[in-house]
Amino acid sequence: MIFVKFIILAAVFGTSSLIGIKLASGYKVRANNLKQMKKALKILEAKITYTYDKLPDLFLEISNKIGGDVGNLFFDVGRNMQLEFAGEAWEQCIEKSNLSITHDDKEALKSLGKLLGSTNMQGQLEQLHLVNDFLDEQIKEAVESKKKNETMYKKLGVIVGLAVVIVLI
Amino acid sequence: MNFILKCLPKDLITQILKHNINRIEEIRIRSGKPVLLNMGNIEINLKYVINSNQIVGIVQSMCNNSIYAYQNEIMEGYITLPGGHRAGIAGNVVISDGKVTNISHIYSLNIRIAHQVENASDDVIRHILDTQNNTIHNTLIVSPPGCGKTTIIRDVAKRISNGIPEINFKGINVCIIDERGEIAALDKGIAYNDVGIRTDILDNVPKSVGIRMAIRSMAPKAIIADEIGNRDDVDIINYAVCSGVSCLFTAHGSCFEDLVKNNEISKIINLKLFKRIVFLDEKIKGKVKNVINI
Repeated sequence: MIFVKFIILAAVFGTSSLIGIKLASGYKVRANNLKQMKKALKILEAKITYTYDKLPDLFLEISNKIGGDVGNLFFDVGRNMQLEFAGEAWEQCIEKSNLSITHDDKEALKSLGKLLGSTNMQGQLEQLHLVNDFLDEQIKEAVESKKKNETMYKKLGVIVGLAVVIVLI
Repeated sequence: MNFILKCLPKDLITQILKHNINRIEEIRIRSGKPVLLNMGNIEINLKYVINSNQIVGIVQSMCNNSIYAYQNEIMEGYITLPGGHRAGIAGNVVISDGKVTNISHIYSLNIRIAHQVENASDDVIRHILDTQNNTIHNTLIVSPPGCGKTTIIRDVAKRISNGIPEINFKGINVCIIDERGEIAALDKGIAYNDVGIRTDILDNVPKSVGIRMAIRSMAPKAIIADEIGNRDDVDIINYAVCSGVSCLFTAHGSCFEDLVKNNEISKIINLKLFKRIVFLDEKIKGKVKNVINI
């Protein structure tokens, strides 16, 4: 009987700690996703400026270089662009993506779609600069949130777990 | 043609497909106006009114979602499409430092469908060939736009490159300077129009640069290019003729008087760089109206 109780208490403690770790990792993943997105958009900017390659090819090329969730997003956008307008493909894929980003992050990224592929070079670069500037701010905020919340949620998970265990004992 | 259809709104495609698409020469699209099809001498009003947003969408699709990549062509007023087709663009022209930098707010498109017509040069080629020396005369083919000059020089390129056994004309090395990609329709190293087995193609390059490159690197016996009449053309044509290469070019105009009003072409004629000027009939495609020997 004591053995069963010990297992239940361990499970409660483990679950609580895992929830804490999961909540903490959300902050880390968001910061990483935003950094990867910034890197991908920087590559896109350089490629547009110097190679004049077409957007569908560039998105597929970047998807190979970046990998992860952002790479998958670029692959989907590049593929969908062959059938629909670039802006629509971008906005739809951002909306459906698995990126761990906030609603505000998504909305700002979607704004790139308004002019994607439909203006001259200057228009494309200006739009990319705007989104990149926004990403800089968001990355800064995400890193600060990560610093502040990551350890807190991990510790909170453990403490709550311990508290429940103590009460149950 | 499939690529062009893919770029158009679905409703418009349905309207176009009601007609014989193989005979379409031009699709005229204007904002707020009905789309017109030109099929030779027949014009068909599709009664499908298109708006400016749809026109921007068409251009974006034609540019493969990358209008910036076609900036240089748009500044010249056209986009070359896969298959050698061309979409002329008109609208608000943006000028900066005296140069065209963009066409914003596109008002209209003229999509010209390129056709490879077998033996299109039947009537013209006899005026071009120099059978005695197994080459071509330095020739200028002249007509107003839309009379088939490009189709003719494409066919001439193919025939002189492959050789014409009927008259014992042996194939010669030809180089096409395809400034707008309309003659050979070269895309990713593949020529979608048949321009002959001994033909080299320099695509998307100004004539003034391409002709020099061709002579230095490809040793052509004949050079073919479309639409001369720019400032740089006199020097480069002079260079080509002086290098012993035979030239076949085209120019816009309907008669000799029209032609010499263009200062650059007038200079070329005065220098006697061309042996023949062939004027095409404006009503019957491929038919010679008259020939002037210089």
